[in-house]
Amino acid sequence: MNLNTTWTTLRSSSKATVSGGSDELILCADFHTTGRPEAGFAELVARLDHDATFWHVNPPVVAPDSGTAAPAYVRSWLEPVRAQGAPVRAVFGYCVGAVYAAALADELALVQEEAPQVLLFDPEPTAMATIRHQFGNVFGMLSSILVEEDVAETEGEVERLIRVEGMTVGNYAAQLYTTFRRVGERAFERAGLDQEYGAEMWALFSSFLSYLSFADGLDPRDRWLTSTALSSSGEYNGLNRLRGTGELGGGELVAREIRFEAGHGDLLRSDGVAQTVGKLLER
Amino acid sequence: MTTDRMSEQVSQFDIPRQQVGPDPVPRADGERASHKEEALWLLEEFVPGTGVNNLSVAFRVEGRLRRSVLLETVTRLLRRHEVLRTVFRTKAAGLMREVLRPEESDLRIVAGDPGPEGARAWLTRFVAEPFRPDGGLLVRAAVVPEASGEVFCLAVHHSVFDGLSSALLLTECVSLYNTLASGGVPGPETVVPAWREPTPNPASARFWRGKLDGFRATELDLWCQKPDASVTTLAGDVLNHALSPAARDAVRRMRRELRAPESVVLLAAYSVLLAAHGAGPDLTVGSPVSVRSAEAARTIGYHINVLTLRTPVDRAECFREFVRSTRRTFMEAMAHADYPVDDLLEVVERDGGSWRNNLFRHTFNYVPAATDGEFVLDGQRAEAVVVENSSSKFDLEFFVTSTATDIKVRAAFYVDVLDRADVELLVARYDELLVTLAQWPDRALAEIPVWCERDRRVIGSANATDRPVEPTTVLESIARRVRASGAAESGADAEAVLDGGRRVGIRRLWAAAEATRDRLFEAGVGRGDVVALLAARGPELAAATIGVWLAGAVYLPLEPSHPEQRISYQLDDSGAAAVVVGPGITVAGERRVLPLVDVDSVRPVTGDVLAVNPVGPLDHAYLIYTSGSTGLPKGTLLDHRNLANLVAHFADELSVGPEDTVLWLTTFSFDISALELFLPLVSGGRLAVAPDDARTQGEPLARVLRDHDVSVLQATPTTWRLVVEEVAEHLAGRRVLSGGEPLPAVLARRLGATGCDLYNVYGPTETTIWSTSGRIDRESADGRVDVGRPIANTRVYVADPDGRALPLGVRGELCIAGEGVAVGYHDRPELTAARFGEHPPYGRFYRTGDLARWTGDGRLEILGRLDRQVKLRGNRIELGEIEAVLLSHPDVVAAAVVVAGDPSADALLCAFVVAPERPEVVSELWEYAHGSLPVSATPQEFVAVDAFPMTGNDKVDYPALARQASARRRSAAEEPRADASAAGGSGDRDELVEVLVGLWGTLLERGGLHADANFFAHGGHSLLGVRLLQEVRVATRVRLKLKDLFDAPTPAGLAAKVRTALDAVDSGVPES
Repeated sequence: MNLNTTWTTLRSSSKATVSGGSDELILCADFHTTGRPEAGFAELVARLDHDATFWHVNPPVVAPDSGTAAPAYVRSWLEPVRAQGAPVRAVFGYCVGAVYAAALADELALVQEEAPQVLLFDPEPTAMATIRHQFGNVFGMLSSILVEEDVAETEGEVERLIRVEGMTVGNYAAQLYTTFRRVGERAFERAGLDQEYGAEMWALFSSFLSYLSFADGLDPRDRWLTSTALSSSGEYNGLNRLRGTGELGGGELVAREIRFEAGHGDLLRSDGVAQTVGKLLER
Repeated sequence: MTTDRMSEQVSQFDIPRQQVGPDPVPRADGERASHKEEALWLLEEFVPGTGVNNLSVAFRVEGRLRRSVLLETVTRLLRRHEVLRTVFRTKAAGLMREVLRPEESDLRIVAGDPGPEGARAWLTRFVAEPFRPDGGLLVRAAVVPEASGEVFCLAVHHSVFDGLSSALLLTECVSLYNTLASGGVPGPETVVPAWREPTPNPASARFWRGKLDGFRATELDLWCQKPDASVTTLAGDVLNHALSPAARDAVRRMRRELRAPESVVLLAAYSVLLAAHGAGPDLTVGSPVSVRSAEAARTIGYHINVLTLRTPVDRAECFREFVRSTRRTFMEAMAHADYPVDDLLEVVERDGGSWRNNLFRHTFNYVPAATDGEFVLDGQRAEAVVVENSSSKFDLEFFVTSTATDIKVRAAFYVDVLDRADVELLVARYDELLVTLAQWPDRALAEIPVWCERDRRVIGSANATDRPVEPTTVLESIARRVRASGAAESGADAEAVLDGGRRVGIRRLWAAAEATRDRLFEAGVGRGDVVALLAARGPELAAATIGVWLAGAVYLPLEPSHPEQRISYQLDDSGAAAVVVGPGITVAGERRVLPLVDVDSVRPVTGDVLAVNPVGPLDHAYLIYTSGSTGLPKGTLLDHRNLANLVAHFADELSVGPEDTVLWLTTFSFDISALELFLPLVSGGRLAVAPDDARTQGEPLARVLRDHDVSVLQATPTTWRLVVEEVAEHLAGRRVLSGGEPLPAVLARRLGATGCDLYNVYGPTETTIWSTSGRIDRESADGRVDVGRPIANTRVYVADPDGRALPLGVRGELCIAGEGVAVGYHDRPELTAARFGEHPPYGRFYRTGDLARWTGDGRLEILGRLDRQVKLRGNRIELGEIEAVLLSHPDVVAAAVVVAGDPSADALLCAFVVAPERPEVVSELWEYAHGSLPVSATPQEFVAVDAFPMTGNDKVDYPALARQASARRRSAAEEPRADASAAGGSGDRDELVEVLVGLWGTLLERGGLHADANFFAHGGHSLLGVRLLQEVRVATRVRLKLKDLFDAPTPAGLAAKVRTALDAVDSGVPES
């Protein structure tokens, strides 16, 4: 399986040389789609004074049922980073991206003199409920071309699969994706929409579901225990959620937590958060 | 899509049915939520962070509550009532309702630590904290310490609760606590299942459809409400008022005499109150009622329906009849209360893009019991308390509680629509209205005043302007000065006019006036004849003006630089007996032309003058033309009393005396010029003549201010804007008047900062130059700049469409009565009859056509022309409001918004702006304006211009701009619509963007989009994106990828992608 990960430059360091090299690189892990209401790293970076080159991941297009292993998935992210050559100063992760931030840092620690600093923004592992919730969002976009039968079929699958004995996050995402394609293609045909565009939509959603589900194959806990988390006030997000549900067990989850008034969606556009990140990077 | 933007289009109830899905279908782990439940939750999705659906049950106890007993009480209540364990979950296919098992519903009691904010503020926040449809319990509990006791509070979501539930739960809670606290054993734990409302009777649906046939909610706006906000917050506030004993007794009396329930009497009076403030006359009021069946009467849950009471208010009708029809409407509605309001919303036609509730905006709720009763809890004194959720779904809600001893009104309101001060007044007027209605139940509603004592006091005091004016003509005042000068011991002629290096004495000026009179007599001019003055400002023109009066004639001021056609029209229309012209000026046509008398050619008068005054106060003083709405100028005739009053007022208000110099800056054909001319002549000061270019350039103005040490000057805001930077350092200590157009706050602050004494003056020509005047405080010029109070012997009122005077804060047409009211229009009896009238008790008045309101402290705010208030696609739009928003942009120096096209069909708003430093700012103005204005009021087109077309009086010529805007639209529409694919990369760039903007609009189903409109920020999502790209392919034959749209989600950006693709095809490069 050819996994092709690219990175978008959110901002270049003022010291960046013509060859594209920079003395400091910071990686941002998040799945950002245009139009998403939650703020993304682009908004945080715009508020940061810290001089570095910031990269944002574009996770590869791969179906959740492709059989890809999580470590291979993460390694594909690192290929462009290694090719670029500069040391990674820090890794940021938002939400499920915090799992990837930990995995990236683990890999980088093996090859760099100094392990990158890890900043976690509302860190969360993937859960079956996350998949179900996000799937609902994605599926809702098709609502105007769906008939009752489509909705009933899909909803039945969503609820049936989650109850299947021994169901895993990865399997759940893969099964839902299959259902989504089947129902979606049927609906596209009925609505007279071009399947070519459908394929693009399936690709987009498959990469999103893969991003969510592959995170389940990674264990971020050790790295998190040495990292700093920045938490929003969202009761159902990040560490607030984990403490409520006990998903990752009791005890400490991170080395240090800094809490903010901002809600989950505003965390990355909060001036206070940007100031704090600036200070954390100075160390 | 940002939720704020989304909420603009969706009302608190007005949720399109298809989003809600099919009717409830039972499912394995719950049921599909009902339509009315979904409507509540959807509202929270559209207005995130709101606690608008949160209700509370709370009580205060003297002493401490026993935690274990309290917890046991709450736990038992939850176990008993299934409905309190009911939760909602958003799932892929919609909102589901399920009931948690008792062991799943673990309710903890939060121990509140109020800190310095106090217990009540803490509780308000506790109640306002939103619940979520995520399967979590919809009940929260807290205890907070307060003074010598504690407050216990349950916050409950409306989807499982309502007002009656509060009372029921409180009773149950108290009794259970008391039993447990006394060591007693509560009865067996029976579970009360959640009650489901029966399916509405089909007859009810028919009833409501018929009842609301033809209803339009846009008629419900109050004249005191604010313009639509750009973002929906539902932020609410509450005001409590106990009716005065007189009002309470009036209600009790009407209940008997009008044979109606107290609730109906109070409701009918509420309707009259709303109607008097502009709602209706096809009025609706929402009235929440419980829809529990007899057997479910004491069931907790969400079982209310808000009835839409449609009670048209006919002002010819008396209150007795109105109460009768309201009672019938109410009873009928009650009989069909089973049909939910949420279904009814789809019945009524929606107007335009308005997001608001389209059934009612104001609600009325009556409870014949106190909500703050006292009781005993475990031997301690306790009382129920009300904790607000700081939100309001409705513009205004009257919640009336009535006990044997008093009637209380709790007025909750939406703060983005009404100000607290306005609600205070509404409540005070309601109180007084009840007394008035009881007094006159058989008078037509049109005759019932809806004012409160404060309205009368404040407006009465502003209008208490009577004072004697002596002498009664300006001519006599000037003559007195001439006599005084003659009597002076020095014998020198007192300086009266300064014109460049010339200094003309008052006695010389008078001599020239007498010479003018003699010439007029020779030419056969007689008493009452009109004499046109066509000359540049200067001592000769000043003398000629006085000379016309000495001849007993009426002067007509004309401006030599005006087009010949305009001058000829005025000469013909006025029937001028003669034209006095300055050197070098020619007059077209056969007319009696007289030269101006050169003041240097006469010998100053000596001794007494004006032994007999040829003019009295009621003789006509001048005739002046202003542009008419029909295009032809109309002449207004003013008498000497009018002018004497005005000049005397400003001599007094500005304390103008012999040491002062007043600048004659304004074109003589603009009436305000007369104030500049006569103010110094009657008060013994000097008149300094300014050159014409001083009206548009700072340098010559600064020079004349400096050379003549001018102390008083006036100009229009247009002039001030042009000159302020260059004259700023010369204005300190001078008295400065600004008038003739609205004074923007930014300009007021800029002028104020120069250290001058700034006055904002207002008045139409028809009421003699200025009718109101207000000193502008340097610091207070914020938001809208008011125009002060009526000047001497002037009474003004703000009238509703029937001509009734409106109270404080309510918008209406400004009408002016008093000494300034002109004789009328020259030779236009129909127009005179239409614009002038008699109003008891104000007397003869002029209808200004300006929209205005009284501020709380008795000053007047002008809100624009009535004809600048337009209605587009059902939305009321104030063009002036839009201009104010544009003007607040730092790069915009001037803004004028007009309607292009037919307002009843396809009209759009076009904004012309002057932005000399950065004309390209127009590309950013849509986003900027949309930040503060609703979509309906955001202009669709922005045009940068160097300057606006002006009327003869230096005011913006809006009709000319409207014609320009319409012409732009027509020419844009007539341009051949190039086939974008054929045009290829070399095609008209704007054309392609325009096509894309059109597609944006079609797919997003909204207007007001522009080249930089982000598809995803305006309601677009991936699937719509697919549709968009298919349309783009049809239009351009270019197939773009979804990724292209994600990368470039604006019409301008996508057009670039299309062009790149077309270029690639043209140059033979295969598409990647």
